Amino acid sequence: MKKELCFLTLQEAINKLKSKEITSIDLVSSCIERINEVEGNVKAFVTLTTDQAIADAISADKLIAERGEEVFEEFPLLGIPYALKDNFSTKGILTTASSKMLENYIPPFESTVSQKLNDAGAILLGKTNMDAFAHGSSSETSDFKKTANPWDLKRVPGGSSGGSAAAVSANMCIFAIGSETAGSIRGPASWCGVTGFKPSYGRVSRYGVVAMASSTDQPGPLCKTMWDAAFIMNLISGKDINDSTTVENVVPNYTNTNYSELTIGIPKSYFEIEMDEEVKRLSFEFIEKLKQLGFKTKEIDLISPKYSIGVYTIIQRSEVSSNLARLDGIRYGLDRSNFGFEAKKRMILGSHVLSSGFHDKYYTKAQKVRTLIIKDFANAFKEVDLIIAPTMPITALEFGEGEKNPLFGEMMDILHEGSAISGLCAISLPIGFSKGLPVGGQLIATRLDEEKLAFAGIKYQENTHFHKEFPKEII
Amino acid sequence: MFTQNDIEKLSELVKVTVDETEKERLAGMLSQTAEYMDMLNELNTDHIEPTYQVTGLTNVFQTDNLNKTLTQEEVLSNSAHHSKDMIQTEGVFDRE
Repeated sequence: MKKELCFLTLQEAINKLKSKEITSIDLVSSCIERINEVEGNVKAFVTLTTDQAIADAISADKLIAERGEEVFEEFPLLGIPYALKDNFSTKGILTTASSKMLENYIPPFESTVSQKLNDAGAILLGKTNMDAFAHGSSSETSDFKKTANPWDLKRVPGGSSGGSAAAVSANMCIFAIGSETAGSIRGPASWCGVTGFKPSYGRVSRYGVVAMASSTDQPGPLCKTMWDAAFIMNLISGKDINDSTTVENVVPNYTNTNYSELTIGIPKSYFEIEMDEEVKRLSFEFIEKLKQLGFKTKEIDLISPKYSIGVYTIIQRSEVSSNLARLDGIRYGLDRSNFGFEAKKRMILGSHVLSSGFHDKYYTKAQKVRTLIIKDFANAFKEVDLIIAPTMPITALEFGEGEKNPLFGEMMDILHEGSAISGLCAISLPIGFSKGLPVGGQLIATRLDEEKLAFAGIKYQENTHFHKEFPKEII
Repeated sequence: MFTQNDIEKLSELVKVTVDETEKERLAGMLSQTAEYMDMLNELNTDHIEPTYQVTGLTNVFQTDNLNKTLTQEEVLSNSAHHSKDMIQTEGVFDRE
């Protein structure tokens, strides 16, 4: 029994802790045992904090024994072990963003998201591997290790939050936190067969997250179910005085939403891009299932996502070159000779598109097309509540495939870039399997309309089983 | 199109070093990337305002309270070299 506790969803784990059917030390030990068993193959973690996790579990159990079920009102995640992407600053714990540049960086402060989780009683198991500085969509650009996809160890987990997605998929933790600039939560969620929630820009604080592209970066959960992701969203969302881009809007209860009628838009242009036939077929099944569940559908026109590649590349490279300029090895981290190839590539292009002579041609042009894309979505959302699409055009690739294309990440994230630069929110749900590999489907909602996503995702998973499947053979 | 000279010049601006192989690779890769960037010219953006941020928030101020901040020791804890209360860096100007 104890050994299998790591397979519990967050909802199940909380209920069992509340009813004292299990203890936190059982749960944490089960996850650690699982990590010991599969980490050698999966390589999801950069740093493990398991000793501290055990100590924290003992304290959690003491609190539960003393105060009973009521303690969960104050600490809704008490005793729950989780994994955190390594670009979230953790006080006193190595935070590398999987880059050599920060291989010795121990933050003197805590990110808002991890602080909120810690305050809710969650227990950190470790920091997960990612593409270095989140530059990539396979997690292969990590300077330290290559995380494997638990469904097929010859394949990548997707990225950049690949370690977090793999850790959830392999049941090494109860839930994980990732971050997305354009696709870095949705993509790995899809390729690892887990549920990913990318909040609207401004919904969740970026304070303490190693910056990639500041105008689109957003933290979010990777979980075993939509309910779990919605529950984490309840806890990490909201205004933060340390991030002036967070919004004041009241945070709804995402696990308790209800709509009598929602219309889902099917964007023709999103299904016209080059994609795997099986992915396309499963995406239409996804639509059919939602129809059966009472959702209305409507075909809509959106600007071709092919333009999002150019817009996103220009904006993101510009912001990368600006954000990474602060790394000088003087106050923290190593000197600039330690940047990897991908970071150099991005900074060089970023400084090019920002330089005089090219600024208007590229940077300003991209920001104008961004306006067009935002308006295009706004028009669509006058007619529909949600927009549906495949999450990724193909299933997980084998190692090394991505390096063949200089825009690999951007091509893989083609169905995320438009919504990301527009600051919209989205989820990726497991919708089936192609040749034994998970396929994800995404729903996109307008800014700060996360409630509708949570409602649709929870309803879909109440009536499907794909999210309950886990990779069997990882060892 | 990017030449290897462009890459060298840009790498100096970004303050990173690129070796000969990287220069060649980057020139090729970035030239390919530029094709996607140039594709944006197919879209008419006359009279369209650029969007730099999507929140619509303006003039966000903090309340004028004293907040907890890092200690001097914490601030210095990651610096490569420090002496007393200051971070040490290499000299910027040559002194004759």
